[in-house]
Amino acid sequence: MRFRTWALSLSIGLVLSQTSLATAAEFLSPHGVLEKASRRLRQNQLPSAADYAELETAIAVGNLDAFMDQKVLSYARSDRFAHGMTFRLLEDFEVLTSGNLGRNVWSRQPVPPYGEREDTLTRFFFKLAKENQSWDRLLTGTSYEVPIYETALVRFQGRTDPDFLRELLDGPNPSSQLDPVFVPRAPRHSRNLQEPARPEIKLLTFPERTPFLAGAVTTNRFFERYTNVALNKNRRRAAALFKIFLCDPMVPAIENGLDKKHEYLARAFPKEWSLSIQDIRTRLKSTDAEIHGHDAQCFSCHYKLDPVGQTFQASGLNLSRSLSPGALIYKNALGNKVDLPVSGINDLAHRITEQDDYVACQVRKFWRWFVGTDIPLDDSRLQQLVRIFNHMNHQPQDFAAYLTRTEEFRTFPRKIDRIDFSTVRPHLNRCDSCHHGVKTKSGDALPQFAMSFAQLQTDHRPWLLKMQERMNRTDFRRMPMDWQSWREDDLTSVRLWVQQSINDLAPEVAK
Amino acid sequence: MRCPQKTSGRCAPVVFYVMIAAVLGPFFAPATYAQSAKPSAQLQPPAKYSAPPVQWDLKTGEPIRLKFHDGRELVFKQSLLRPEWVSIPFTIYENTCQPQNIGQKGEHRIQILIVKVALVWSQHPDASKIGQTVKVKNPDGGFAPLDTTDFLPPTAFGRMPELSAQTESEEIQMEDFSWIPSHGLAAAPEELFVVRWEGEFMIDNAETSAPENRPIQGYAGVHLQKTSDRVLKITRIDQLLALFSNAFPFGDVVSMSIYDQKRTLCQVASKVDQGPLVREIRRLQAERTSVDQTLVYGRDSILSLWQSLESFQLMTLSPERLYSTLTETTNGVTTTHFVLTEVE
Repeated sequence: MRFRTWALSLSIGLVLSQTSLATAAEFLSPHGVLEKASRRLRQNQLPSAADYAELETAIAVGNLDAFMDQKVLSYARSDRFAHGMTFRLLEDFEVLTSGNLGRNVWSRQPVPPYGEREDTLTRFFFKLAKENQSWDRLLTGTSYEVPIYETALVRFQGRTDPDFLRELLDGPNPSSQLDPVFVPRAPRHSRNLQEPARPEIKLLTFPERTPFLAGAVTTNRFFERYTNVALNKNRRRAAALFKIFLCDPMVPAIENGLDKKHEYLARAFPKEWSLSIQDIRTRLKSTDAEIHGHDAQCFSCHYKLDPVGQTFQASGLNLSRSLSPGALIYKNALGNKVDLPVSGINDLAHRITEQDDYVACQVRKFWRWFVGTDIPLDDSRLQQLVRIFNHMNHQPQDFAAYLTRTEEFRTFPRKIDRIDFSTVRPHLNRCDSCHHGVKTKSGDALPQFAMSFAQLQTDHRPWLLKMQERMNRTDFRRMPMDWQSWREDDLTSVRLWVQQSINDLAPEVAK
Repeated sequence: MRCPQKTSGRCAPVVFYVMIAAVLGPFFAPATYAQSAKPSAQLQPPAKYSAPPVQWDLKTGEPIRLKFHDGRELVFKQSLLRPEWVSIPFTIYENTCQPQNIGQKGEHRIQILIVKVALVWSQHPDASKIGQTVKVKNPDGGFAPLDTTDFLPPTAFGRMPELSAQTESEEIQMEDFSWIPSHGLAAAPEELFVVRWEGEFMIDNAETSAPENRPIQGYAGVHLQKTSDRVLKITRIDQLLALFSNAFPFGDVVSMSIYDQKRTLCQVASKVDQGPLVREIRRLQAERTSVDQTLVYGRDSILSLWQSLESFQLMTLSPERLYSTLTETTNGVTTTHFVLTEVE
């Protein structure tokens, strides 16, 4: 109890000292560094009392560096690190589902709804982080743990992982193709409905370079998140690859909700907008410089999306062993055109991991996750870290631990005057996933925050005030409802942006 | 009418719901049915709820009966089982490997089965009730018959032994097959292998909940053989692809992925006229109103497509609609009780 009080006072003291020293001193104290490392590496968990005691001893005997090296590595080897990395990757892949599809279909069945039940992708992420596998396995991995639930009814809440991987689980066996993958179960009435369902985990391990596999990409959730239609030709999946692995923002040339949408659509389809892909292709071949295929804005994406999308062509509702050749084509950070033909999805995955842009992109992500977006990362430092990341064989535990031992990690964040909308837009998307279109008691429909707030107007102020009020509550009305799953930095960014926007929109008199 | 699945502001085609309803059932192997269909003692409500029990009477080779404590009795009955042919017109509008070779029209010919199943009074003190479909009390106070009319594609009813003689493979009929990559001739090739054959509909994305078009059903690894210059018939399907199980390549847009000689995977997309299928389903639904065939346990396999009595709940025809459920938690253990619903 005494120690807890001591730790609390230390923590408060630390916060106060950080605040007061923000302008005077440059670095966090050792206690502050330990706390920050623990939080970043272990899902916001504070160091234990014993950790602080060991720190005190290490300081006393002049062994601080060795102690910190050992401590951060132990944090990075913990389960909480693997959980944290899993969460970061789910967020990075944008598969943090709202999980409500089909929830009301059979409320009495015990199988968790889609997004809440165990899935191959989440297990893949966790295993990669826990076993400190090379980060490249995200793309090149060929081993999966497939949860199989003891019911087939779950398919109504989204396709199951076994269904997606069925050709791999069963092999091409026409006689068994008519029945879905499932395990017979007891009649409903003999089951305890409150007992959570436990899946059987089937391990699927394939040789390295299995041509139709590409780590986390060839999973059910990736395919479900980035769906495809005949018209789209897997460009959406290609865009996700560029975004996740090469940090290409892939901003659509035709952005929703902006005036330019009309301008670009008019360029693409001068006479009418409801044209087929064939019409678009005809225009691509046309010499008319004003149309879609020749428009620099449109072509800036399609030249790279189309050949990568082609590598997904063989798979759709299931993962196929068939291959579809394509190419990795894009302009790298140096402005040089990369043009590499690939035989299929695994070949593409390996080609991506060979790119300098891929390594730099992943290093920037680790920087964002562990050092923070509030500490700038310049090019020379980035190149230095790339070399270190390569030297560490892209192992996430080691590199994350290393980052927490850098000078920048110990540096006080620079003061940020204004939060840019692009910073909060992804978080507002999460709000929209539940709230968009919902009507209030007075009958007003909630705006789509991530879209409409891009250009703030006076009538947005009441919504912003409401958001602020809900974010500051401590009862069950607190928003976001799942605030515990949010990163503290993200919540702070949204809070600051909301306050800043309220101020911006304040009536002139108040200003 | 409330529109549960919007497509660009319009209700999704009726056939979409029909198909969803059609494919709900076939999840469990026949062996599972025998196991899960056994009468369960837990179906009887406990004494403190004082509702009279209803017992399943399942004996191989005999009608499937549902017996009330007072001697009343229900049996399962079905309408005539007869697959019908329907032609689904389509027009090819895109061909990624031969962009100019489009516009061909054809028909996807497929058998469908429309079957009505009902629970019918076989014993009742009021003789006029015998042969009538039982009606159960709805939450709104009215009474509704316990029956359902189901649509099944051949991938489902093709597994019913009694229909094997009447079941034929799907086929594509066209005047011009020159759209097939690396084929170039109007006459059908000797054989064709389709890597994927999928139909698209608009449904909610499982991850984001946003409604969007996507493939929801079809086949992978489809082997077709020529039966005439105008017809390619399916000889084998390696895998069914269905978000909702047991469907067939049908949707607003249907696309095929086919290799050309250079091993490029080409996409051939068609626009589909859903009208004929919808009209045929409606016609057959109107026609199959009487249920005059008594279902025999262990012999009639329509039930094996639904596989378990539980799955009937999904099909309107739910024995569980004969019960209300009550849930109570004692010492952390939650128990669900079943209480008899009012029937007539």
